[in-house]
Amino acid sequence: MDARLAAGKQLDPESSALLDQAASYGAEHELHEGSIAVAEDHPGDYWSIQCKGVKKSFGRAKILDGLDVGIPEGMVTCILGPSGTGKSVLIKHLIGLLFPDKGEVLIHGESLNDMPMSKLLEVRKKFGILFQDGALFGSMTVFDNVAFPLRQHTDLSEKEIRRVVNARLDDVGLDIARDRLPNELSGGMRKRAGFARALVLEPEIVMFDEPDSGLDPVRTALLCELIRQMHEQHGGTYIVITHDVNSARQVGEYFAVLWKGKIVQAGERDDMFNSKNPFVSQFLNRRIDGPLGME
Amino acid sequence: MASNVTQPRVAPPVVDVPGYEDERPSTGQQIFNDYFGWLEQIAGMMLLTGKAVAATFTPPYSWKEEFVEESFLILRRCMIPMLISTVAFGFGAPGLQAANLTQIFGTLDREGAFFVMASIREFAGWINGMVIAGVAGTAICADLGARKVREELDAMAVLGLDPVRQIVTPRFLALGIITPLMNIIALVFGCVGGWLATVVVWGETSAGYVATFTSNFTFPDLFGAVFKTTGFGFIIAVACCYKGLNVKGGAQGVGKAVNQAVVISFAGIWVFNYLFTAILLAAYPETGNLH
Repeated sequence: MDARLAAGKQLDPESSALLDQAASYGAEHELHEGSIAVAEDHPGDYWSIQCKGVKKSFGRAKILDGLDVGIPEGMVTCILGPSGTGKSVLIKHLIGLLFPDKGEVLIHGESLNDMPMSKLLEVRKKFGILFQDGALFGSMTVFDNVAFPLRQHTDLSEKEIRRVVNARLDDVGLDIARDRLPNELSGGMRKRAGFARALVLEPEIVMFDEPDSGLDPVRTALLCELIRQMHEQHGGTYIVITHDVNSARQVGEYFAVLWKGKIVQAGERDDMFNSKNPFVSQFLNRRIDGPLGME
Repeated sequence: MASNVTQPRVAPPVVDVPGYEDERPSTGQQIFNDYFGWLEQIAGMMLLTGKAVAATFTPPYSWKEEFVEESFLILRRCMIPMLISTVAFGFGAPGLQAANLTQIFGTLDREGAFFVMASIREFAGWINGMVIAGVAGTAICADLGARKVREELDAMAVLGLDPVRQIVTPRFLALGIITPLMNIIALVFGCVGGWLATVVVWGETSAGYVATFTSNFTFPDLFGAVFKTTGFGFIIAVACCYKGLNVKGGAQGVGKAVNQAVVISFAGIWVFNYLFTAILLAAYPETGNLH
């Protein structure tokens, strides 16, 4: 069931028509072959990002092992999995910072494999990403960090840049810290500054690499609420990579559960929390009995 | 920005995937990784060099501002250590020690001729390379490594900017250009060290020292020294930038990368120095004669 419809949200007529069309398509085609089956017929229509049979090893360590996943357009997708299971490696594949040994990653139907660097840099402008520790440029103030993408990629005047950056910093509650350097910020503030920078070019796809890491539960909840509000306000495709089920439950609409280099299951939130798969059920319900141990 | 709901969405099915199978690399692959991993590093350095050269000559030339900053940084950090090292080394080993021998034959004035070989052809450029690798190269490697660990380079790439063009190229060019320029100063101060030992300590006349120096100093000596140290600069640049960009494992990884970068730079300088000097002497045999 569509998560937004389940939440009682109203869609505009055009979107409703598209949704009906897609639903009838799904009913006709019996979508049991995996999420990729849809994407092959409608590249770039439904999925913002697709991974097809992605394999990646570092030396002897096999990280991704034939991973298939689709990231739906316009939704908040949570990619969940235990620690050390390849989530951060996956996010780097999604934005072309790493390339698969086998398989391919498609952004709006375009394969990143063998894409020339100039084209790849253009594709990356579709993305905003919040790295684990914010990844702010250490020699720049918070204001300059957020202004950096605008200065590089737009012809806006300094006055206009100041207006946009101040608006973004107000959005994330960092208006008082605009002149501070990154090493003068707390972990939560660095993440919020990174979030403001990720949003400043109004990207189509925004990614969050473990937004909860290093934060206390209250600040994690506040950051997740901020993510949810920003998505409601600005839209776009959001991807949250985390191992924290509470955070995922708070923001996620579509879930993909990663384990041992593969997506074990993918689906909408309610379907996933009611899953009968032993691993998914154990992980999402935080049970100690199940296939996942301390190994 | 994309609107809230612009694309059709259906609830995708819950998908079960086959279980995970632990496939280790083959034995041959393991042996290759264990014993020939350095080949991959050499290839990586060559690729990085190619990318930096391409970024140098193709627009946008966004590296210019940072190139100027890095050049001044290298000069500020390396100039004093290089001056002290070249004067002290010139004064000690070739100065005092060689004068100890030449005074036995009553030919102290030949120290000037000796310093063409010692300072111009060998130790000034060599010390200059060591200082720049040890001071500027390590600083650049640590800076790039820290940026890598803090994911700044990834952030830059995601913002649609090429880290090689923005970060590597200015440092690459700064090291490659400032090293030979500093070498010209190093040559002078190496000879000053020899002059101090010969004239001030051993009592030879300045005229004698300068006369034998000028009669032996040739143009191939000078341009050879400049070309050679240009090579030193780019060897340091590629080793330090490559190691900095490929840091793995946090702060410990940065330390390891800096250590490896300086070892590779030193070894590269020694090998290149030997090959270059051998070729120079073969091409210009008159430079090896004592006039």
